[in-house]
Amino acid sequence: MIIRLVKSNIRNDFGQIISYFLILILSVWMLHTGLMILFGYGRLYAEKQVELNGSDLVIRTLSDSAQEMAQLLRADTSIRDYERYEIVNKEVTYRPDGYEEGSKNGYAERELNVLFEPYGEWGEIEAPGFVEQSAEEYDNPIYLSLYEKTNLGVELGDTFHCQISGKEYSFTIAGFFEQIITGGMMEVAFVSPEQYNEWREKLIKDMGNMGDMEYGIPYLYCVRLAGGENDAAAGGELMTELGNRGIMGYVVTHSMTVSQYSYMQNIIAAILSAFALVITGVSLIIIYFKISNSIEQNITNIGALKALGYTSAQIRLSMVLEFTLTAAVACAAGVGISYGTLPFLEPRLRHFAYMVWDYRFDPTALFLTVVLIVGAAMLVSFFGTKSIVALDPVQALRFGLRAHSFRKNHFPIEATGGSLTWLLALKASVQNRKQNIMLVGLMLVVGFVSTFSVFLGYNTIYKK
Amino acid sequence: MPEKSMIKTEKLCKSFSVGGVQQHIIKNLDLDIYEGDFTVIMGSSGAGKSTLLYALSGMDRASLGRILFCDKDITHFTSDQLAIFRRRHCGFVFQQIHLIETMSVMDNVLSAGMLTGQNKKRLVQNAKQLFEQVGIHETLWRKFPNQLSGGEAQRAGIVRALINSPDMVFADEPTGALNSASSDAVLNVLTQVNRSGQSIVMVTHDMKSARRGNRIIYLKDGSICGECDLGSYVSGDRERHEKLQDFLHRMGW
Repeated sequence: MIIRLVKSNIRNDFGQIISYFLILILSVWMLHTGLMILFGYGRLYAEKQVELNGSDLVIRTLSDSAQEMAQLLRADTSIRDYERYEIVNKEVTYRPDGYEEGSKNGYAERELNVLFEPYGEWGEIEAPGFVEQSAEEYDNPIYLSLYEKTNLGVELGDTFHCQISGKEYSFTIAGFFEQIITGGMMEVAFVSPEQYNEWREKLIKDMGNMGDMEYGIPYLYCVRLAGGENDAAAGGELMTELGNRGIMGYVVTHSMTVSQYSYMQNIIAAILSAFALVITGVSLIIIYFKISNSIEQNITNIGALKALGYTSAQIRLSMVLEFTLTAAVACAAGVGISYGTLPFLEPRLRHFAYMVWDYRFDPTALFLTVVLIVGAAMLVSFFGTKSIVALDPVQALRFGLRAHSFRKNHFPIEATGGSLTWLLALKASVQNRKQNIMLVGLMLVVGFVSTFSVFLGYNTIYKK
Repeated sequence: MPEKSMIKTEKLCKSFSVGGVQQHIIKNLDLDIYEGDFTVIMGSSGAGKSTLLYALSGMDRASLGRILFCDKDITHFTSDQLAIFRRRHCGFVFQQIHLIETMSVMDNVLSAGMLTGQNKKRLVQNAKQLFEQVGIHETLWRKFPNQLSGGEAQRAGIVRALINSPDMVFADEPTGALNSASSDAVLNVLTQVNRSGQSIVMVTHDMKSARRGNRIIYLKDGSICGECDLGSYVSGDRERHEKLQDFLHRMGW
């Protein structure tokens, strides 16, 4: 029979329930999406490191140091394993399609500092994980990281026009890969072994007879640390050692890279979650006052129910269930919409993550969303209905109308100018001012949040 | 055979505080309401008729004295105990009807019936029989109260009051908001259910309604001023009508 009461309550408050429901869906979508991004990207890099066998840190050397490096790395007990990759560092002037002398913005040339490696010649550690790869064979292929894909706005099959060391090149983009350290701001790219060797020989030739032919050929040392070692601490110690040994180079750690990559996602997640909580908070305040209003306006019904034998707890339960069920259904809808919008959101977030986020069902995000939204609705409606306990049924039945006390006659028609319709509207606005103030407050908040979100999304995700 | 007392009050007092001043509405009232009777409580405005009705039914608590209902002392029951007591033993018919506007007529009746944990199918069956008994057609069962006439709605209210087979039906001016034709229909229903054994206590200030009772209690200033035994209602019984008129005249009505 409580369900009948709940249905009756929903029927009575249908318009307001729908408004509350829609606002909650927006709030749930924001909160759940924010939490998904926060938790998802929090786990992403750790999962990717395992999946891609990524390094804990990468040392890039710039000088003749092979023997010292080998000694250093063998002696360091915090290092479990490492692999060494030869690279050719080139200053690349990238010219997008449509470039002309003097072009600006998206058509302007870009200066890149690229570490080239030969395609296919990689080991176990820090090997590229290809996410897109063309089935066609090209004469002069180039394989870029997802970082470059989003940075340059290029796609598979595009022509990569550039100038390297005064010479014009036209590569065809044959694939995109992801890797945590070398797939990001280190700007590693792969070219055919023939192209790579051509540059390598020219580099050696340009260096002249300098004795050891490895002089001037930089290397990447991709290091895996022993279990439990902190990569930031280990990286710091290695940098110190490099300096002590006079080896020119620098260290990039996994945690340093991840904190840079996840910076924007964390901001987006925090903003979404904060906005969600603001909207939820405002809607709960409105619900609290709505319940008080509803009790006043339906006081005779409550009196009748008490007369029939309904206890205060049963009447309260019907109202608590009304809002809790609405919140629960809004949660289901909002979470569904959140998962539905992720396919559109994830490619945009890839601009910042430089990794493909293989999102999946997140029980933690769902649990927190449900507990916060439904729990808050339950609590607020429980406290909002406490006046029912003290409601005397006889008073409620007899004096229902007297629950409203109208003391002041606002905008008396006899003394206030204006048309009758206008005056009646003003009078109604003042009599319902509590509700109207709340409505205005809610609209301001929702409007601000929505506008801010649109601008933020446009500027950070869509606009390059 | 002596009549069985269903409700008994001993030195019942009910007071309200109005603006810091105690208003004594019911004063040291000793009263028995008997099983099977159609008891009518009359009196001038402010005599305490409805106050007495609500005290007898457990809707309101006595300030002093005792109320025994079906041999249970309900004087010191808590609000929840009274609510549970009312749903099992009492049925209410209100002047303003007070059907829940957002529930259908059938749902209004079932929402009262299901409180006592009855089997729903049997409850629906009972409700249908009662609807037929009071003359509410099947086409109206799923309508909302605002789609019914005043008389139909009040008869639905009577069904709601009867659904749990209460020991006592309490009617507070059940025809007060109705026109003459609807009033007659409602009164006929009440007479009919009383004839089938239902005990009724009704408050009214209307003589046409009062005639339906077999026992009239006249209240004045919170005390019983007089009682009149009219015997069973017979339509058109002039002698009975004159007896009532005479009684009310003596009471100063």
